[in-house]
Amino acid sequence: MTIDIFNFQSDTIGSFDLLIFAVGYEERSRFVAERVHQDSDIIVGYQFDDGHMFSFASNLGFLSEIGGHIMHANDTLESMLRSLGIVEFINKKICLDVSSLNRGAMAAILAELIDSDFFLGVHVTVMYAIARFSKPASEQVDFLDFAPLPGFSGWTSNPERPTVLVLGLGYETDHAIGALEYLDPSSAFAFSPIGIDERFDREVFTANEAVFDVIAGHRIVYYRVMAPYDTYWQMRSLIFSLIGSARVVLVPMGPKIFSSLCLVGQRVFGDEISVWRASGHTLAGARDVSASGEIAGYVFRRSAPSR
Amino acid sequence: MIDHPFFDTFNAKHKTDQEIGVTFVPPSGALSRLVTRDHVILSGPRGSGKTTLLKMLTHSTFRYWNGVEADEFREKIDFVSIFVAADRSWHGQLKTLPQTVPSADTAILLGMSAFTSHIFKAIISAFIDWNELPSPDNRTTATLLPKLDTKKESDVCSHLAQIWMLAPRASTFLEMQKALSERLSHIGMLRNQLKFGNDALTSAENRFLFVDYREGMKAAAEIHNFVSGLPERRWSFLFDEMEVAPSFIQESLFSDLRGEANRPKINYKLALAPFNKNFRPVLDEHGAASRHDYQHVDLTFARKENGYNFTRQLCELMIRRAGLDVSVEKLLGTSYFSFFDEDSPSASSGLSKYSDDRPLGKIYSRLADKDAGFRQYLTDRKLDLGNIDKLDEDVRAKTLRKIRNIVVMREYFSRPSSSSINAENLSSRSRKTFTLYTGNPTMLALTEGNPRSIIGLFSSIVAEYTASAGKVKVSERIQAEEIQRSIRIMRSLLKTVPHGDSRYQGKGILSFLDDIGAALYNGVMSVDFPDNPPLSFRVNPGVNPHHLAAIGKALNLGALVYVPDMDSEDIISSVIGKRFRLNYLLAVYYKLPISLDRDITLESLLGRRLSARQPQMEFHNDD
Repeated sequence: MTIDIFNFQSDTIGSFDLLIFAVGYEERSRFVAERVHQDSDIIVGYQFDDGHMFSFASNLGFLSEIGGHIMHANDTLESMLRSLGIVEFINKKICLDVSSLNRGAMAAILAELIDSDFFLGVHVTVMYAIARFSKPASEQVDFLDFAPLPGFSGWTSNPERPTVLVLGLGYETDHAIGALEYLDPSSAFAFSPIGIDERFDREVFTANEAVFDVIAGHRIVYYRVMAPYDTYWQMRSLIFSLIGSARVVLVPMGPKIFSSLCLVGQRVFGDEISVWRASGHTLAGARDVSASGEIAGYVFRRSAPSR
Repeated sequence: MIDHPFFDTFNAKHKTDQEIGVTFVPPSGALSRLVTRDHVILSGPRGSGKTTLLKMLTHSTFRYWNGVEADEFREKIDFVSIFVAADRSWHGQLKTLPQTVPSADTAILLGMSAFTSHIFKAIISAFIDWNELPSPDNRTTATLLPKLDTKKESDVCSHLAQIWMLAPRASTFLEMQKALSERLSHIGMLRNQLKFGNDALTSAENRFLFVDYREGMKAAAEIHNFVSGLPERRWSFLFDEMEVAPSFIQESLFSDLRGEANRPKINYKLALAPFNKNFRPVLDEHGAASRHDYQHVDLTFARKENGYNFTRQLCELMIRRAGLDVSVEKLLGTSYFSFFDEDSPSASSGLSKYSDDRPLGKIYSRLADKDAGFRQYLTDRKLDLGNIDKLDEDVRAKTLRKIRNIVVMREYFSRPSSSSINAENLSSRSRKTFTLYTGNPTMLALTEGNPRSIIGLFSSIVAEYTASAGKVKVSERIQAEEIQRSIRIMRSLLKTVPHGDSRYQGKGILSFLDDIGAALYNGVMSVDFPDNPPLSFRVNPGVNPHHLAAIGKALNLGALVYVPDMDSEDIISSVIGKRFRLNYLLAVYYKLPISLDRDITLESLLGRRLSARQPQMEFHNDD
């Protein structure tokens, strides 16, 4: 199977056969959907079992208004579409908004879109509504869910090789250094986001001071959140330089668009790459987040079925 | 950021043999107990040097060591070793197997086969190393590792390929290695296939799944010994990081410790964290193994003085490698607590150090001024700080010396008050908080004799010292900052590990440890002056199983330290009845003295809210 990654132009989005977005508690959950629902044939809102607070009710109302269908955490996308009488979804165009999806849900949906024969040949436009800046929650939420992401754990044929950790940094204080200590790799690299608001960049630096202290400067890769296609190539270049001599573990924290790139990339780079999640279970630090107005994205395309 | 001149990788797993060998400092007695002919369990929390010690048993690493005892041990290592690496990320993959294949049995079958293939790869990798080693200059190593020519290499490979059910493209070690990588890849493919049913398991091409690692290891030893003309040569299999291995692998290796049949030729050295729920139950099930089945080497220093020597040696090696040759004392200066060691009247003045014009005496006086509890304590014991020189030496030792560290802490962490002690809030911390713990030997104690902590705490300090060409000791400010940084890193790690109890939902075990730290601090700073406050705790029966599991996890991460009642105890399978103290770095965070003092039950320390009895005492070891 081949996966190709393309650049994305937000001013020429076009139309979709399927739009998937999270019906979350953040106001920004529906930002992308508000812009593309009129050009989407089928609309699916992914609803979490918890977190029904803040903007959740209005987001759910919006889904209903635009004639969307609810997909629950245990559903598969295929079963959801089959329930609508659709028997195949080959070569279709899909918009996946990852802004408010958690990493588990994102992994489940992407695994299906990439692996299932039901979705052969699809073009998936992954979109991400950048949040308006707000200070991180003062309470530091402990992250406890630290494990390979189901479906993206990889499988090494060289367990004796050194583990190299590639961290995606976010602005949760000391999460990344905790992951580094926990996984205890032989070497580490970090992808540090550059957003559209300098305050965000400063918060990322402050939250990760301990990481910057232990990872040498030449192992920090700065990426622009608004340019995921470029980020993919930065990541690809790093991973291909490591893959012959190391096992690579990607731990994406920070912007969800980076997490989605790690997941899609894992399929491209192969089973020697493993993606782990490092995120909190609880809603203790949850707060509403609104969209800044900027949308970042990229497109990946699965190879078409042979006829 | 100051560049760390020493050990720029995070652990010893993938350092070169040379890097490990030339920087090796042997923990007291550990190496001599490791080279025994018995099985050995090597225990210690993360960073305690288990990997380094195991690697030092391999000839390819040992040859780089030039320490004073190197020649002695070169003769003692009269066996060959196979180092079987492991780490959390690989074991993390194996642990996902039950989620991806149809049954638990199938997951175990694939997991064991992957582990078996990994051991075989380690064996072949060692064969390659042995053939590539330069001619050793000592007799023992030269005798143990004769070079195999192409014919002999081919003989070894063809025999092993048959037993391991492997089809290398040629009978060479390199092709064997490639074939084993392909086998591991094939197991990964099977994992994916098995999502659609178990049929693949019965296929003839997958019979290798049932190859037993014990038989494969035994065959490797016998064949290589035979071809080398060394039928009596002994083998050690060095299993690293077994604490993160899936339970089925741990249980299998533990049960092998009871095996007598291969003992003369093959033994295991297993590196484990201090707590392991599987250890004792597995051994008991296989015949109540006792000490004669294996030796136990513990790399934990429950009493800080026992770790000083090792810590000092490693620090001084770091200083030497940075180009200077000075003592740790010169690097760090004197600790705030260093007056503890001398108690006799000063020869010049004839005055006791408790006299109110001496530094220690001033601390006592200042505390007496602001702490009514302390004044009452002195009154009750008829102690007059103004006439301390008249006290008998014995009385001084039994009263004033006994309470010194508590006096220092209460004085340092309290504000002026005319009545009851006005203790600082535990949550208020500044650089001053950490400054109290700077200097030698307190800084040594904070590392717990743990090489990773030593390197973490001292790398920047040594670099700073080097930058000043060793002219002045490293300032208390910089030392305090490094303490703060080390604490921050340790606390970040502790956040990642969950605590199962609903009270701590969403929190890591750090919150549980914070409760313990706060309770101990309250004891030290209580209204009534405590001359012997609890600074360790004992786990009483009836404690909520989630807390028991949290203690086990904290122990393995080095956040808690087991304090055995006897000199040395086994791997802990249950924490009930055992005594623990906080890691001294964490003790600093909780503003506690760096000492053991007496213990208290966990229930008394934290209150009855933590002691919900449950009928099933289940431990979770998924650290």
